[in-house]
Amino acid sequence: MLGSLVAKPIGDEKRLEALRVTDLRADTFRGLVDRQLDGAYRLAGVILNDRIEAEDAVHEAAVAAWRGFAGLRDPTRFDAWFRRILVNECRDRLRDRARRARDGVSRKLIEAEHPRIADASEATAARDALDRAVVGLTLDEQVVVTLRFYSDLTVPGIAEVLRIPEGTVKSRLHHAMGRLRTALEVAER
Amino acid sequence: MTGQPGDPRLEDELRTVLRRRDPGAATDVLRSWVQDVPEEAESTKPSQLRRPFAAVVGLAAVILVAVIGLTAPRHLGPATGPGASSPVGTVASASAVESPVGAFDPTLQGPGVSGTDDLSPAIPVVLACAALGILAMTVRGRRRFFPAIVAVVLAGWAVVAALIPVTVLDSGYGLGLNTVRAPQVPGSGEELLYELAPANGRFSVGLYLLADGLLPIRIEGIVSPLFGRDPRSFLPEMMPTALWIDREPNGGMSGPIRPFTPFDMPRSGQSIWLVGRAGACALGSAFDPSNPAPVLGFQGIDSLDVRVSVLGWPRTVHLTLRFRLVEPERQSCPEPTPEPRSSPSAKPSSR
Repeated sequence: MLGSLVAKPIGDEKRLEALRVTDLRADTFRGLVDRQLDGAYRLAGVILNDRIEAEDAVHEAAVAAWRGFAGLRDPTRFDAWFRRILVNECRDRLRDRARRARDGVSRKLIEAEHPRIADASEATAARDALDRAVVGLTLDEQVVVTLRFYSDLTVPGIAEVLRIPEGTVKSRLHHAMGRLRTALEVAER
Repeated sequence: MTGQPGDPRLEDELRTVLRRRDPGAATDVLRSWVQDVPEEAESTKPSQLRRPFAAVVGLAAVILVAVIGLTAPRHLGPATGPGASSPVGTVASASAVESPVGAFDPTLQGPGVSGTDDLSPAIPVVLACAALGILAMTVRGRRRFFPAIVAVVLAGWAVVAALIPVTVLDSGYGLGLNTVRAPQVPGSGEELLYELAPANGRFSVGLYLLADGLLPIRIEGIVSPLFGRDPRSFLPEMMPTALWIDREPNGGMSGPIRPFTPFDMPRSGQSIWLVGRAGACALGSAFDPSNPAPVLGFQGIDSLDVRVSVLGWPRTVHLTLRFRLVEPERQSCPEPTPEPRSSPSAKPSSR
């Protein structure tokens, strides 16, 4: 009886301490995510070519990151870790989109649903053709090309984000650039 | 780096293309969502479950909206107006007994008289609004506005179509087949009509309908008095069997007529003819209206449940008739016999 009386305040203190830790962790998480939110949204927007889906992807990535945040051993690695989660989320969404297209949803419908983010005044036939060619790349190639030419990551940097060998990154870039070059040449003829 | 060094132009073009996709800085909405992630993630179900859940709810909402969309136009389709061409032969006025045989058929059963009430779409609408509301809360981003807008439109339609008061009035009547007006008791305002058709014979009476309300009303018919009653307790009573529409302009009761089809109520009103079958115990023309005392009893009709639709929403309006139509009954009533379908006792061309 005496033991339980003594144990109760200790249990409350532990709970309060746990809440304090959780709050501290949440504040840290908010600060870390907010710091790179613009970059994350831009990267998702470029990969997905859809503002609304980019918002959803960043939000989903943030939810996933929070769920795994307690297990992140090195907070200094947060940016790369979060970018990896975001890129994976974007890749999942591209895969879903491709599956829907395969299941009979026409490309036109998808584009109507997800309007392209394009400035019509800047658009040229060649660039439009190149844009379409990017969409025609495989999902992995689209991601690698975006990380290379939008985020300006090096091949080792891309390999780290995607957790794939550098050789695989080079191979994907090589194939992607070949197809994009062909598309550009055809458009300029 | 790209495997094809010396291709700076392609890389520049590619950078330009990718920059065109750049959506700019994160929106305030996204910033707010992300700030809420720690609380939200602790309190909500795993996000992996959200998509299948949204898909199921969305499918349910689509099915319900489709059901509503398929049923409502039934009450909104092109109405056969009171003045439209007649699918059946026509006759002249109620007094034109010599009209062509086969034009007005008092034995015709069914048009305008429904054995059931229309199912109200209220339950599908409530379920659809609930599903759309859940969907709007589940879906992220601006997509949530779509189910929310559909739900608001649906709820608005339901409230307006189901709750705005409408009235159907009977502002006049006409004597038809086997109906006579009773001598009025001095000082009494009651309008009493006797139905003097022989047992299981046919009678008709004209009604001049007027609609009152802010919204257009479509008349769909009347609900049979048998609706909702136990068939085992059925008595061989006088019974409405069909409605006919009088096509005389200005709502008169002497124009050609045609079997009832749903119509949009004109502002000026519309005359219809209620055709019915006399009860098995009807006394018929042996009844003397000036001396009603020896009769065993009376049964009668003094109101109807009118099926209407307002903006596609089916409703039932209780219509109190301006008159009471009563049928004198014999003192000794034989067991009811099956109704003779092919030998109406009424003159076929009279209303």
